[in-house]
Amino acid sequence: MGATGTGGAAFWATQVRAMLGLELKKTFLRARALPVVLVALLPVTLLALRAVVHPISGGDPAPAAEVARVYGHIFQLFFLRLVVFFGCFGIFTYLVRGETSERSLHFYLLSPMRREVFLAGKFVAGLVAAGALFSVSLALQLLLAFVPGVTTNGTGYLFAGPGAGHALAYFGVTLLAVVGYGALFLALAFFFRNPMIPAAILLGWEWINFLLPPVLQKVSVIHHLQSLCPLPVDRGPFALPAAPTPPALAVPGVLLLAALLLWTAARRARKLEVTYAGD
Amino acid sequence: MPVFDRRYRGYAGPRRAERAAVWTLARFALRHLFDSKLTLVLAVAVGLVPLGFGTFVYLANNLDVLQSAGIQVDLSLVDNGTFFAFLSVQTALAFLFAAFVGPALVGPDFAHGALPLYLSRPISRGGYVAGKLLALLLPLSLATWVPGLALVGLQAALAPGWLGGHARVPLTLFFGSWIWILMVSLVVLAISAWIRWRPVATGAVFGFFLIGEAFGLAINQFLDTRWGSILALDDSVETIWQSLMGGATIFGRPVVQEPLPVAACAAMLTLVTAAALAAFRAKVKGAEVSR
Repeated sequence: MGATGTGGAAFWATQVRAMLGLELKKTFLRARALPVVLVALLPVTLLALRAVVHPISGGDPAPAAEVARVYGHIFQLFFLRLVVFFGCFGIFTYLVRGETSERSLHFYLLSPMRREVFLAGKFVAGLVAAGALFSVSLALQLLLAFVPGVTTNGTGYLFAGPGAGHALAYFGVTLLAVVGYGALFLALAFFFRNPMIPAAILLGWEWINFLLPPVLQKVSVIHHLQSLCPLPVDRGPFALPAAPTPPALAVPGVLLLAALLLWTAARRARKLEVTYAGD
Repeated sequence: MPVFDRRYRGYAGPRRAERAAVWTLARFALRHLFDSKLTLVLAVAVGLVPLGFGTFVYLANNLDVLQSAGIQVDLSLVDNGTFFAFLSVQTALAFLFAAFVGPALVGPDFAHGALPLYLSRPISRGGYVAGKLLALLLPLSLATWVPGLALVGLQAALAPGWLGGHARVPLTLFFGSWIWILMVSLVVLAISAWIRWRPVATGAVFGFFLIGEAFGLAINQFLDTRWGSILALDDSVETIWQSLMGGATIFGRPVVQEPLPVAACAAMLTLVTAAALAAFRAKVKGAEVSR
C-alpha cells in the first residue's frame, strides 16, 4: 500500500491535513460557531469591563500580585472549569454527532480513508480550532488584567516579572485541557447518541472534585490541570486537602488519558455504521 | 351497474375550536415524553423527594411514633425553612428534567423542517409556542407546586392551626414555582429552537445557568461589587421566594446571604423570561430561507 501512495504515514498525514482544512471551513469558520466564540470571550468581556470601569470610578490601580491572585481564581474556577469545558463539549461532540445530525457522516465513511485517519482528522481539527480560540481568549484576558492604569506595573509584571512564567503556565494548562477534554468528548460522541448525559455526570464529578477524598480527586482531569496552575486558589472550607500532582506526572497523565480515549474511540470508529433514523 | 358520486365533499363533521389545537399539540408531545428511559429515571427522582418530605412532615408531627420505637430524635417543627428546602430541591430537579426533556420537544421539529407542516394546519405561531410550552409546564407543575401544596395540606391536616400562622407558604410554593418553571421552560425551548441539535441544546441550557452564575461571581470578585450575583438566576429566584415567605432560615441561618433588592431580581427574571419568549417565537416560522 505504501509503495502505491495510497497508504502509509505520509499519505495519512495528507488526508488529515485535507480534513483539517475542510473542517475549519465547514464547521468552525461559520456563524454556527458564534456561541462557542462568545462563551470563550466571556472572561475577556469581564476584564474589559474592569479596564473601562476602574478608571471611571477613580479607584487606585491594584497591585500586580493581587491581580495575579484574583486572576488565578477566575482562570481556575471560571475559565478552566466552565468555559473550556463547555467550549470543548460544543466543539468536539459536534465534530461527530453534528455530522450525524446533518446527515453528512456517510460522505466521510464512503471516502477511501481509514477510520483511524478519520478520527485523527476530526481530533486535530478540533484541537486546532479550540486551541486557537482559547489561546486568543487567554492572551486577551492577560493583557486586559495587567493593563497599565488599572494594575500597578502590570506590563512589567507580565512581560519582565513572574507574570511571564505564569502566562506560559496558563497557556500550557489551557492547551492540555483542550487535549484532555477534547479526547474525552470526541470519544463520548462515538459511544453515546446523547453525549450530554455522560458529560453532565462528568461535569458534576469535576465540580465536586474538591469535596472528594484525595484518592478520588486524582481520578479527574481538573485535579491534574489545577496542579499545573502557577498560583493555588482557596477551595473553600469544605475542601479536602489533596497533594497536587507533580508536573512530571500530571502532563503525561493527561496525555496518556487522551491517547487511551482516542484509541478506544478509534476501535469504535472501525465498526461505526450510520443509521440516521435513530437520531 | 351502480355509479358512485366521487366528487369532492368538504368535511361536514364537528369542528373543534382553534384553541383546541394547542391542547392537541401538548397532548401528542406528552404522549412521547416518557418514551426515554432517562425521562423515567428523572421522573422517579422527582417523585421520590416529595415522599421523603411527606415522611418528614408526618414524623415531625408524630414524634411519639419514633419514641415508641426507641428512637430519640430532636426533629425541629415544620416551618418556612422546610418548604423552602423542598422548593429548592424540586426546582433543581425540575431544571434537570426540563434541560434533558425540553430539547426533544421542539428540536426535531426545527431540525427536520416540520414547522411548515404544523403551521399549514389551523394553528397559529402563538398556538405552537403555547402547545409546546404547555407540554413542558404540565410535568414541571407536577414536580413543583402540586406536591408542594399537597405537603402543605398534609401539614395543615396534622397540625390544625398551622396554616393560619404560615399563610404565605402555599402562596410562595405556587407563585415561586411558576416564576421558576415558566422561565426555565421558555429558556429551554428558545435554546432548543435556535440550536436544534438536542445534546448541544441541553449543554447550552446547563451552560446558560452555570456560566451565568460563575460569570456573576467573577464580576463580584474582580469588580468588587455584589451586583454580579444578578446573573445567578437561581439566587435571584431564591431571593424572591425568601421575600414571598417573609423570611426563611435553614439550620438557623438565612437561606440567602446578602440578598440583592427583590425588585432587581424580579426585573432580571422578567427580562430573561421575556427575551426567551421572544427568541423562541422569532424562530417559529412557516417558511425558512436556506443559503
